[in-house]
Amino acid sequence: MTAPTLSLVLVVGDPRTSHATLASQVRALDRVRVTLVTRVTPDAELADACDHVVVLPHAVEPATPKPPPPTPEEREALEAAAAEAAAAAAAKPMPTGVKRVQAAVTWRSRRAVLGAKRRAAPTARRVRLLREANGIDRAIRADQDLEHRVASADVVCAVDTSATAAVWQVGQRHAEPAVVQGFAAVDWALSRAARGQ
Amino acid sequence: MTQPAQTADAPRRPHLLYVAWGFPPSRAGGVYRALATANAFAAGGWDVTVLTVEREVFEKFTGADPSLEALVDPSIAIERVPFEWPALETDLRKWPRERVYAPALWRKRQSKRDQEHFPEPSYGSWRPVIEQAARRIHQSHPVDLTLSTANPNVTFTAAWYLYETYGVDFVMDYRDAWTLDVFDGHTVHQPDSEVGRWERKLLDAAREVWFVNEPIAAWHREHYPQDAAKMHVVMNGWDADLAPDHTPEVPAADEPLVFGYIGTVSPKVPLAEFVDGWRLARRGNDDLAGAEAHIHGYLGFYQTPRPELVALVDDAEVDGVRYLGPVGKADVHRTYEGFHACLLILGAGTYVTSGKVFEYLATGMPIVSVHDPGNAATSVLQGYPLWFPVRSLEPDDVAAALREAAHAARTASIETRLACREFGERFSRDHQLRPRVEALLESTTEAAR
Repeated sequence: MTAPTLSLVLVVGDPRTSHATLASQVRALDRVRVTLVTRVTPDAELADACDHVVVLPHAVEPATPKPPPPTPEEREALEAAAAEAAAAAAAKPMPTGVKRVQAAVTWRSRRAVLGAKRRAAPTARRVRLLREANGIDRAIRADQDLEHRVASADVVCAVDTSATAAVWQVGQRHAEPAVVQGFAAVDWALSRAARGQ
Repeated sequence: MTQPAQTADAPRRPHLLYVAWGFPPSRAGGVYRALATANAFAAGGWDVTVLTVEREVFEKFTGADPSLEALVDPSIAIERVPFEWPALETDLRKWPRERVYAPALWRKRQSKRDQEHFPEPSYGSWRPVIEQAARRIHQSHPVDLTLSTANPNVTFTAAWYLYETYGVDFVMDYRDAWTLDVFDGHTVHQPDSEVGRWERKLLDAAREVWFVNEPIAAWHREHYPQDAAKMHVVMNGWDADLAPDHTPEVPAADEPLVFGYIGTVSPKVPLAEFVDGWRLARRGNDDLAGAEAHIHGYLGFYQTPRPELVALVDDAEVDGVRYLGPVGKADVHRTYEGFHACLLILGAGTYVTSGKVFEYLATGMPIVSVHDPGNAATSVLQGYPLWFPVRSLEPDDVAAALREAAHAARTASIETRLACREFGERFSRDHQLRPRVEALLESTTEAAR
């Protein structure tokens, strides 16, 4: 007797989630129908690996992936350039007096205007994550077909923290699917679902 | 729990309660010591009951290696009790609303809840569970001796409970240390802290206290001189069931060398320093032409790999560093057969030792030590014929050790390799444990008369 096919819904909310890694993790699953629900436009490889893809309204583009690591030759060239730049900087005298004060004031005012620190603050980050998760949750509830698909899945997984609250809400609304945080928990949840626990 | 059978006329075997959080099928590093200890007592004439957590804890959180369960002596009774680990819980149905919407606040409160019964984050809440289980076990089959192995240190509370309530003697087996930070040598809990008070009363009451290496034992003798006489070093060792057993061979001249690492890559492991040295060593070195470094094991302590370690090994792939994931213990023999030299990459610290150093010693292969020269593993490896320690963790020094080891891997004679195997013989686990098991059997039997 062959094992039954299980259904898994993956919810992605963070543009920084690696689509290549997720695609390889999905491909490694055996006898699992995978639905991807995402607010980030998936790349072709990830879309291909999944059986069904739902891109939520107001989708965002994935974050720019990291450039590939430099080859040993490139690394040597980079190291040489960095050494040269460091030597040049060392040769240039430090500004003093009024110029030094001017530079400090400019740097501080620019930082204040940009507010990067504030955007990265834990509370601001938390609020942003919750807003994103609420957006995902509303979008799932607004799409009846998707809501049905989620409710009848064996496992629903929040792939990243942006999706946690949305998947937690799924668990509050529906008794059936196992709801888990992080792809690492998927194997365990699927094996339990297969055993009917 | 099953009780071992005893015939009416046979002398009563003493009963050991062995308390270990990590026991097969756990795949954590310390599990081999736990497995070997329980087996050594069972073979040494004891009835052994192991008190540990449910299988699911390992399957779900730390990773499981089911092949290890087959190595447990069949006479050993295993009592598995629940263990809640909220911080690592991935089942969102078990998450309270507070955790979803105010995670920082939840973490703070959870840490307090964990330590309500015992001052140990994450594990403290296990205390009432194991105390109750220890009482149940003692009532159904009287316990003569409790052996608790840390960490977590909460396991000592079951021993303490039987000691206080029923006067059962106990042995403390420290795999690391409790109040000493083995990585930087600092005292992490002061003597007047709750942990400090617990440690003092436990050490005072214990019949024996075991440590994995001399530097840790010496530190404790110095800080607890009144208990120095009961402190013993029971080093880790290689397990006959698990250690590599192939005859070391010289690789063919055109065969690229494979350097191998087997073990958990924790954030303390100087993997970045190794990678820098490896890149340097491969440049223009004939012995290392096309050489690869194979990293086997988990990246971090848990199932989910640590992102910074993943990024590090991914970046180093172009330089022949390959991350090949964890190895089931049943496959360890075969994995070693694919190596020409072993990489011992360890965290820094005078007190840091490692189980894998002993397994490496059993291979007879060149061993490159990529760790602080002051590390406790150094004293174990002194005198091993094919040992190549780094002078420092600077890339040049790491590269020099790797090149020397590569040359030895290509040129060392079979005689030298066999001398290495012979050197490793003295570090078998059996050799380390047997004296203590026999001494405890004798003193327990005498006390029972």
